[in-house]
Amino acid sequence: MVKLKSNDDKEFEVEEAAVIQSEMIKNMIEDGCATSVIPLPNIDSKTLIKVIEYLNKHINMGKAAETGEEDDLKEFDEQFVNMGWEELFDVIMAANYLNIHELMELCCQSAADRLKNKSVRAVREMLKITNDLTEEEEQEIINDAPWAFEGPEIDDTVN
Amino acid sequence: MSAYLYFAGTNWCVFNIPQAYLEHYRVPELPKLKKFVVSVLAWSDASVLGCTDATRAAPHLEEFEVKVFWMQPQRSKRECIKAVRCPHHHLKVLKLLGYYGRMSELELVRYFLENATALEKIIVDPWCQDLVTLTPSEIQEGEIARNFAKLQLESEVPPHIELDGISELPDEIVVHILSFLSFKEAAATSVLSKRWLHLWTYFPRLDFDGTKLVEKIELYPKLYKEMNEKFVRWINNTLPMCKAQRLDRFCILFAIDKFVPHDIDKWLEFAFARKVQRLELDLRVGLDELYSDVDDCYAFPGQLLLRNVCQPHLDNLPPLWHNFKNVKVLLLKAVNVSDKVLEFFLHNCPFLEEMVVHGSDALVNLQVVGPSLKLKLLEVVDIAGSTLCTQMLDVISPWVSCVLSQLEVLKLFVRIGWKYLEHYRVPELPKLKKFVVSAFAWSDASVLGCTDAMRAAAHLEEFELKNSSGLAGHEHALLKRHRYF
Repeated sequence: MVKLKSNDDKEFEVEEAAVIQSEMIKNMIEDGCATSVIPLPNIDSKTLIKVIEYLNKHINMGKAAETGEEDDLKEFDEQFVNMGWEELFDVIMAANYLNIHELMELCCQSAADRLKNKSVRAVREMLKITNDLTEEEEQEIINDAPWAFEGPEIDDTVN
Repeated sequence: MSAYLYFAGTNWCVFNIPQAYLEHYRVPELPKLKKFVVSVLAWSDASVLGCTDATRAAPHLEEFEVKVFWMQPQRSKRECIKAVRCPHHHLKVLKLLGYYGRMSELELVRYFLENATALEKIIVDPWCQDLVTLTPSEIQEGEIARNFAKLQLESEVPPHIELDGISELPDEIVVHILSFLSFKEAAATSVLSKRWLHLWTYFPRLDFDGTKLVEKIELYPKLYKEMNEKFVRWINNTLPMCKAQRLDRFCILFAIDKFVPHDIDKWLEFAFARKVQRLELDLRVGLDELYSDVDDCYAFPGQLLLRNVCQPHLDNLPPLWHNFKNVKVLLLKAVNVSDKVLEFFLHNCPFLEEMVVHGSDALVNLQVVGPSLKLKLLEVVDIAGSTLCTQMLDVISPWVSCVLSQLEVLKLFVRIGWKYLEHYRVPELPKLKKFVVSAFAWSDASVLGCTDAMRAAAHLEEFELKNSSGLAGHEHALLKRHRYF
């Protein structure tokens, strides 16, 4: 078992087989730097719980194909990314920090899927982007690359 | 005095005063002022709290903006200074552009947190100049500053005040998320805000798909010239914006007979200079390639490949040949490729997995001895000319086993007759799983010749025959499927 400590001082025990999906921790263990508790100063406990949930489910990914658990895993992934933007970004930052490739790809794919075909207004609202461009600047950007703004379908909802 | 009168009537103003004088400067009453912008050149970490004096003169101020222009700024470890307290009841927005994470900036935030009772929002942005002009190292500096802001401010700002601009993902991660979108969708994010203006330019898959323009041309042939120019302009305008150091994909899909070869040469140079992995150049998309005239085809610029290989020290340029090492997929349709060019790719691209060449009439006698151990798909289609079959077979014949023995899919298109095939000794193809032969059904001549080729492929699983007639069945030990079209 490996002990992880979140930045709000909560400790979690995780099986080594699960935790080594993180390249960062795997390297730490290989280098003998993971003898006691591994502090994770960039990750809060709420996010760490999500990440550990993912790691536990994805132990022995290779075996899933043989045992026919692929569909089960796929369903889990779909459910897993069903979270708000803030939470998703926290998990992405954690996956990036811990270097968990599959989790990173899963979450970034989900983020991209949510942005697809959305209107500018909807994306700004979803990502809480403050528009600091003037109307003239906006028009100039569109004029510079009109091809990017062609096309009929625009979804103005933020879900 | 006239200036004072002017100030009193306005509700928006910009000061341009040397920082050191700010504290001694008696700002006149500004009863109607709603927005106040202070620009600061930052080289020392001297306090800029002096400017809060000015805000005291404007009791109805709603927005206060500080623009810090970086001039080799330093983060000092000096003590925090406090300004005289003065309540601001209307100030709602505090904007800190060019936030670098220095004490002088933190002092300002603390002052307003203490005095601005109605404060709703603090906007932090490390950049205050035009993003287009930023260098990569400045962008990196900005990200460091953003992290500083996060560390410094998150714990100080109470939850009822919205802190905008620091909880965002770092640029590299946003760019990664964008890479899951299409090129067009990614480019459309440029209009979101100043920060987003440059993010899409790191997109690694450049798809210039002109299929829709081609459809228009087919409906209205008169538009040909206009669409053609539009397509070329699109690429020529877009490439200079693209900053990705490595390209996963570079894709040009259009239909042109007489193209501007000079432009395409440049595009290819652009792609190879960025170590492209998948190169698709289809210059006759949507048109029937079998019937088109190959004479007008764009010729692949052999000199692009060979220039620096032959003369590495020419023009003091670094050798270009390593740029081709990353090519995994090469798809050239309606492009004239010479033997030399294909030989170059097979020889210099150790990761080459797929090579597809359609409609090239420049192939005469391809000689391949190369380390392309990964080649899995080879497709050579429609090499025009009456001596097609012999040409085709010549193309194959010298291919030594080091290439063919790895091949899993082989597709051949034969324009005329099969009789040549019978005399052809196909080399061993131990890994071949799929073999596709296409031919016209001119006559009812036997095509049994192609079964020779199948004998050489002991592990063949799929055989496909297109546009033919009269194939007599051939028993093959592992053959699972026959396809007739």
